[in-house]
Amino acid sequence: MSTPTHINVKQLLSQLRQPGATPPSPADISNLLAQLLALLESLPDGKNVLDALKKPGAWHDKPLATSTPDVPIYVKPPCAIDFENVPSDALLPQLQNVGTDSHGFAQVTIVPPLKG
Amino acid sequence: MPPPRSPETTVTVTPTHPPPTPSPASTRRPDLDPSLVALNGVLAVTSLNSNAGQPARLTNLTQSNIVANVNRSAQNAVSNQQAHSQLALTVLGKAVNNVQNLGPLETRASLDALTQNTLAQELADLSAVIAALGGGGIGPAPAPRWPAIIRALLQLAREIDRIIAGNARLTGNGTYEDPYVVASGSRFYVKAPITLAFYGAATVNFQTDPRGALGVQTKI
Repeated sequence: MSTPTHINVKQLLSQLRQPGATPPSPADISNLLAQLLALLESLPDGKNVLDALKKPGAWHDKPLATSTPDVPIYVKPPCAIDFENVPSDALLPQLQNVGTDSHGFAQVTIVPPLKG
Repeated sequence: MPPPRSPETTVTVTPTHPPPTPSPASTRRPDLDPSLVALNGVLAVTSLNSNAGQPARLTNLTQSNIVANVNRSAQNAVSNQQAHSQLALTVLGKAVNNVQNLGPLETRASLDALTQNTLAQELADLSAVIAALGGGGIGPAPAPRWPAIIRALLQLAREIDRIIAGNARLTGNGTYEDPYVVASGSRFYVKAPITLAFYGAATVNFQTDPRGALGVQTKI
């Protein structure tokens, strides 16, 4: 969702809330709802609309998932990283194998422990 | 008064010609009272009149039915046209009703509905509302319903605000040109398998998160 659209929606909602203000016209409401509809229609069908707005990696219930070890995910340290599916006893040994990427930055690959 | 017939008198009659076609008058029995015979004739004529007039009355009835049917058909045509118009209004009304019928408790429910798999129906209803409002086909919803609609939209806006604030805890897109930057006090949530490169750091120190098994603190 783009920020300008959100601001426009908020402005319209704020206008609607003002007591004593001129009642919104059907065109105003139509404009507001059209923006909301455009937002909702831009999202994949069958998915949680609001969850789809969440940025992967920023939410505990929406972790960043990738399976392309050749293309590392770059993150600036210092930072705190939560691994959703790797317990600490499986994580610590893997943190001992730190390599370097093509730019000379520290790089590490973490895989989930084998089940069973 | 004729004399009573004797039971011993027997007359045998043998027909030599075909019997004549009986007429109402010929059916009279000669032994009947003349007044009864006259009455019988009246009844026969009346019956004949009744039987003869029946087709005419049936014709009149049929024509009456046809007229009535034509009239009913016209009424049905008008009724059907009205019903069709009402159906269109009903479809539109349902869409508007879905938005208008928002009470205090339904505000959350409406938000839930927007976040569940009923999205397609909600979008269709919302499209109808927009078309109705934009096209001027109907007027705005009744005033008492507007607060509920606004409350629902504000609730949605608040939820979107919360998500935007949460998204702001993690900037960048994870590429070399635009690496992720995790805000202080926030966390970067990932799922293995994953390969992480630590931008700008040739070496890093790791610390396990004191809170539990799934955390690791990464520092230079």
